Amino acid sequence: MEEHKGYKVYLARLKGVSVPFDDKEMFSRINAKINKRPYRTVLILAFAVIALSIGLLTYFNADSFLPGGNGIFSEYIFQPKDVSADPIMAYVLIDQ
Amino acid sequence: MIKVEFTEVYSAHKDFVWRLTSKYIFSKEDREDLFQEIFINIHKALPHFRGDSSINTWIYRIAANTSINYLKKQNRYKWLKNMLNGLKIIEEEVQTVEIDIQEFKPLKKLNPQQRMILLLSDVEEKDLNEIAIIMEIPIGTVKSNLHRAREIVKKEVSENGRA
Repeated sequence: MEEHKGYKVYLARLKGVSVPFDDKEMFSRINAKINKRPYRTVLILAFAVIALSIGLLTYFNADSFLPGGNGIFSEYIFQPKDVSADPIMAYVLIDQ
Repeated sequence: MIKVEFTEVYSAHKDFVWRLTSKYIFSKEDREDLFQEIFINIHKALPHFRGDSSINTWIYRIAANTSINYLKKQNRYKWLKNMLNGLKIIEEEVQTVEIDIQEFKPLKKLNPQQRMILLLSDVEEKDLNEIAIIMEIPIGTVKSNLHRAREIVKKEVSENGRA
């Protein structure tokens, strides 16, 4: 019974608690967040699409359909160029 | 589909959303963050409001779900931070300042769902059916959670003499 009374008193006091609220500031902050969100989503999506494309092209070595592409991500970048195909470099090599 | 303006919804419901969030979360920054999150979710969902339930119930539902998820996320983050602290991977951060209101102390002992059910029932004075609709859970779950929450708060109140 005592416990029940204590709880009722507590509830009455809890209901009475009021925390100050800055209305004007809050509404403009909510609006700012609402207006900012679409750009963030577009940026995240664009980044995800680019990352996924690079990942897939690299994984399947499938960039040969691109002009000059021949496994560009997995082979061309990571392996040394064939210098003998370059006339100037070929001359330098022969001269040596 | 009912067309409702966001500014009208904000003006009409900001007080009760603030009343609910201010008793649900205890640090100033988190409380304001949660309040904003609720209205961003309302703004997002507003074009889909069909008017099946009253707008009041609909807003209570968004407020309750957003609050519970917010607190769960915060608890997960706290757990992770404590673990990383224990492993000395990150340094102890400066804690957010919680407003030291005595009345909030017993509420801290409740889990996110119990806290929301207790506030809706005993502070907002919603009946059990309405709480079940707002929270989209069976009425039996509402009853058991409310009973448990009251027991915990009563114990806290009697142990501390006053809340």
